[in-house]
Amino acid sequence: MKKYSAFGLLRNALSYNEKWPEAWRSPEPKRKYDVVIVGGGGHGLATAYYLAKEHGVQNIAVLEKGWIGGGNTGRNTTIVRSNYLWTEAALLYEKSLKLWEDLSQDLNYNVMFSQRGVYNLAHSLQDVRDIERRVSANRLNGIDAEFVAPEQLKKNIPGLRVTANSRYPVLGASLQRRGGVARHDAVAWGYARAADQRGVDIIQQCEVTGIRREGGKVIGVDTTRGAIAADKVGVVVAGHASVLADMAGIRLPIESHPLQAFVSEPLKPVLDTVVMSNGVHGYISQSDKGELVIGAGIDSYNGYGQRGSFHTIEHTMQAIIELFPAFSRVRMLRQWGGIVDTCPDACPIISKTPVSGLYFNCGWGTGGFKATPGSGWAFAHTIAEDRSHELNAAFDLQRFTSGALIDEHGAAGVAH
Amino acid sequence: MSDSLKRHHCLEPFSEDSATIGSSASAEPAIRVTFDGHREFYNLRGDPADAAFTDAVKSFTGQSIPDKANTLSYRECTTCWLGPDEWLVVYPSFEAGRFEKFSTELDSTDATAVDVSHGYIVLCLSGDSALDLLAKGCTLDLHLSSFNVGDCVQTGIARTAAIIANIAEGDHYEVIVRRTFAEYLAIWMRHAGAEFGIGFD
Amino acid sequence: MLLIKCPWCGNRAESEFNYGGEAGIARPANPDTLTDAEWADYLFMRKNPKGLHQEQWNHAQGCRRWFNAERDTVTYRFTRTWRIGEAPSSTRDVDS
Ligand SMILES: Cc1cc2nc3c(=O)[nH]c(=O)nc-3n(C[C@H](O)[C@H](O)[C@H](O)COP(=O)(O)OP(=O)(O)OC[C@H]3O[C@@H](n4cnc5c(N)ncnc54)[C@H](O)[C@@H]3O)c2cc1C
Ligand SMILES: [Zn+2]
Repeated sequence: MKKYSAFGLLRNALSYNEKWPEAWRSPEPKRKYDVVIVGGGGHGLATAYYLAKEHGVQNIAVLEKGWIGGGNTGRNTTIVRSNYLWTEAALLYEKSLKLWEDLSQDLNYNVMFSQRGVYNLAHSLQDVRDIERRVSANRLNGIDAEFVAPEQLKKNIPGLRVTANSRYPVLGASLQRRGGVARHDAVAWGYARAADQRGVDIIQQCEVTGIRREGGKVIGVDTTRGAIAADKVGVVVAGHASVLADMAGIRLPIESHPLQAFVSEPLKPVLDTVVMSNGVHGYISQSDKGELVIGAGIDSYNGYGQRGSFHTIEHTMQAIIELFPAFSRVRMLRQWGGIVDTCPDACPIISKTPVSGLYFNCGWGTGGFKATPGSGWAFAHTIAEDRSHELNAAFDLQRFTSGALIDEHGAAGVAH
Repeated sequence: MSDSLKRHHCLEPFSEDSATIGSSASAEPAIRVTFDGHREFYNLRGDPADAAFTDAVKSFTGQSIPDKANTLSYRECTTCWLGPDEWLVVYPSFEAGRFEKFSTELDSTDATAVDVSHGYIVLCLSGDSALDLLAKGCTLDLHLSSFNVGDCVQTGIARTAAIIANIAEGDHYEVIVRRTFAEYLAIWMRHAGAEFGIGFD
Repeated sequence: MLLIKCPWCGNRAESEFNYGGEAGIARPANPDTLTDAEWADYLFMRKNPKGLHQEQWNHAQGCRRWFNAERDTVTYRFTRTWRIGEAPSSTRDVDS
């Protein structure tokens, strides 16, 4: 596999970009693997990559029922940040953010990670107090965070309506300057290419339909392309976590919900950062193509339909226009939905299970894109060593029995 | 004594400064809105299968409680169905001691009445386009084929929880809302009604 | 927007309702005899099926009653709704 470089770009341009080699192979599934990863989203591909890179596992397959990155990875609004309240969560997301900072180099693939800053707005005195608390907690954990007063916000984000007498006045914001956005597809493709280079078989159009067990131990999976034996199986299928858990007779505290997002027609640069509001329930950034990327809260009901209800869209638009009145004339171009795996404490599960050799990584809900590198890194460790890394020890399935929940509803609130 | 003071309601300032909008000053607007902030409202809970309860209500109000969902009965007062064991009794004006008498009437039954007069206000809509205005703000089918005199529905109008009571022939509708939302809803009506022509009294 | 048949009020728009999650989760009769794992199961574990789901809804901007519903979580189509304490009809009773 060729290394991407400026020279390569030039050479391929001369041949009208028709001679690029394929970025990863499409092999036939083998009969047996050491580790099978179910789910070819960013998290699954990252897991395979770090298993090969950090733990020297040789014989790995990633099984994806559709096409890689076609799930939430390719549907999300790409906000990356690590300013979570509780130490356990903050350190996990911060590990991820550190990996993001070198990811394009590491993968030799431009994931277009842009650290343009992420603001979380406060609309009430209580919001201000919560945000100040979170900012302090972040700094104690060595995570960059600052409180921005309204006067400064006006200067930093000219389009934002910062008035004290509106329905939802803007009274300040937290800012994480190292936060930002990345290119969602590139993350899946970059990990896929890098994993493939290390010998990982990426098998698309291959749906797992059963999890084979023998004497309390996993022995493989049934798929639409036949049975595949495996010593270990790591399941990382986002919204389908409960479906896969059911195949193994495990119950999860997960509920799958539709989560919608939209983009507008492209505009000239108007917004050079990411603005989120838990209070009015919306968030917005502008992509490099110029589209406003807008997200909502989940639709209330359980749903696997990858679409949601119109009133949720309406609600989100009202929130955005409340914040940026000038956008009221912008037309929306596309709208879609993903299936998010929400967890009662708004934190993920990266865990061993009662079935030996079977591991689950799920519950990222509305905010797992930012965690893609860290999640893969920690899950790879958990699978390779058959025990959690200290970074994900608190995210064990056992916490629902012990009661040691990590309540991130404040920082994950509107999510993302 | 509060009874001897003039009673005010929250939308008085609103009617004072709202002229007719969206139609010429001389023409009668297609929607007229008047505010009635001086009614009495009793929230009633009881078992409709319990004759002691239904008889007590009937002897006091002079009318049966409606047992069909989303309907009302109307004579001296209006009784709106709110749920299978819940009604809203609305008297057109305040009368000292009436509520006390009513609750004494229910003492011997398992039912309860709560005076919620301070919680509600009524926006009375009339005119050709009154229903068109309501239809803009709620998801219900308000066409004649499904919404008639004697019907009352609870719904959301421009996000505000409201009861729409269809109490009289002709285009007369009463929108019963919480006082705290009333001003917001009136402002919404002013905007949404402009295309038809709307006037506030 | 879903069209939901309230067993009291009839068909209404989804925006009048609140969703209440999985139906039929019985509160343990003897909480003090439960193991931690049983508590966890009661409090947190959910079926979350891909397909027919029995769930609770509240007609919040209507009659404010809770009721049960059966709905397909892929097509989102309701098959039946019924009052709390009553049995669901054996056939599809929703025309949406
Ligand atoms: C609209 C929207 C906006 C979001 N915005 C943000 C954001 O701004 N920031 C953020 O951090 N997060 C965000 N998220 C959340 C984020 O996208 C997810 O948490 C994250 O992508 C989950 O990663 P994944 O790779 O595990 O999931 P996915 O990309 O969904 O991958 C799971 C894969 O498993 C496959 N699969 C399922 N069942 C099977 C089976 N039986 N056999 C084989 N394969 C199977 C699926 O096809 C899918 O490709 C958003 C999500 C959505 C939907
Ligand atoms: Zn109802």
